[in-house]
Amino acid sequence: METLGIWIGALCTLAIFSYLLRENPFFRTAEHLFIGMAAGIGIFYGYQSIVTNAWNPLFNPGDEPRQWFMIVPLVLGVLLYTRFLKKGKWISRIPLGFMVGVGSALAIRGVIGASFMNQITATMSLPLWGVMSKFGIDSLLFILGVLGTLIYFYFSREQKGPLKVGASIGKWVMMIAFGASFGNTVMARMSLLVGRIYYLLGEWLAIL
Amino acid sequence: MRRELPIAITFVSGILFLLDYFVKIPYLSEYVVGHFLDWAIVVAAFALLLGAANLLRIHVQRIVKGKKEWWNSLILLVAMFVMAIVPIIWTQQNAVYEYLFKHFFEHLNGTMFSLLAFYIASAAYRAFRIRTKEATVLLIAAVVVMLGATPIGAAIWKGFPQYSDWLQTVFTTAGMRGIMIGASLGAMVTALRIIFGIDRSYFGGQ
Repeated sequence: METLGIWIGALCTLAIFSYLLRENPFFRTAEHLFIGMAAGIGIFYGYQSIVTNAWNPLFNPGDEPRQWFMIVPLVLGVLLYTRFLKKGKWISRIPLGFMVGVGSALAIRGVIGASFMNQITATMSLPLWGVMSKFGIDSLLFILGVLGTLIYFYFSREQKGPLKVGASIGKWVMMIAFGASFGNTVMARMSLLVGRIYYLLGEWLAIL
Repeated sequence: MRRELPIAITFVSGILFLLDYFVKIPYLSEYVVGHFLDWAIVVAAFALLLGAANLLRIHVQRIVKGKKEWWNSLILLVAMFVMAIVPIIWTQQNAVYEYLFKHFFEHLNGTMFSLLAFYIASAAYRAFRIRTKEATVLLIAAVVVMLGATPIGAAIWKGFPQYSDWLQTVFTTAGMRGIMIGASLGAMVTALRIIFGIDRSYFGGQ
């Protein structure tokens, strides 16, 4: 069974790589298989989430107190499926509205601390000298980089004079940042590719 | 009614969940708003199953109508049902599910993402062909980081790993932090527009 598994893995890998030549039936079959499996795994996690978070606390609470409020998400969830009805289609917007409302508030709650205030305080609390000491002035460069990037995206006033200088610093800092991020992404993809080639040459063909 | 009720629900759920972060409202916070996140997770799970139902509808139609390469739709549906039903009946720790996951899904998933290595290389070539100062800086930073992460880089010059670290600690973090602060302001404004019913695009533009 293990040998069969290795052959299956190798054929799946080759079918996907065949796309590099051009789109072909082998790739399309592998693609459909991949989407089907991914959707199946998604269905399982969705089912598990409903059972764990709503069904069990409501119908099988065990020793815990029964959570009657959990009837609400179950009803809202079922209402989502009214979009298949011709006349009742609009009802599916009720659970959608709830999800979007809570999701939007959650986005504000999430970013207000971690992505906004904490980032500002972390930048403001940096000493100008001595830390991140490649050249001694690294934290000064860092603060200038953050300010420059913010100025680059400030469009409420025409960018001339000090604003233009700030925006220019921001542009160069972002170019370096994008270049470094790009380099990291390339390396991550390359390591995946090396892994696939190692699998084909090592586990499948046993050359390595 | 059809338009106003969902907008009102968005407003009430959004504003209550947001207020709950700053002030605790007696009874309401504990028994209603405190459960909002759990409720949203459950509704989102139903939405996920709705997506699967749509996928099922489209591919069943393709099979029934005998459209071109209908067998791919059959493969998709069989794969979807097997990967969903097997763990539901016998849990994820059963031999069939583990075998399918290890020998099919892991390889398909890994190869699909490794394909991007080729496309990212061709994208890089096209980006760097634009001979501007900005593209040159981007190229130098990318090359330093790539060489810094490989043994051959350190073999060429010992400074590559150090300068790669320095670029990432100072410039990447600074640039990304600036972008993150700006993006969070944008996210907050967009979320508020949605909560207050100014932006209704999530209803399909109606």
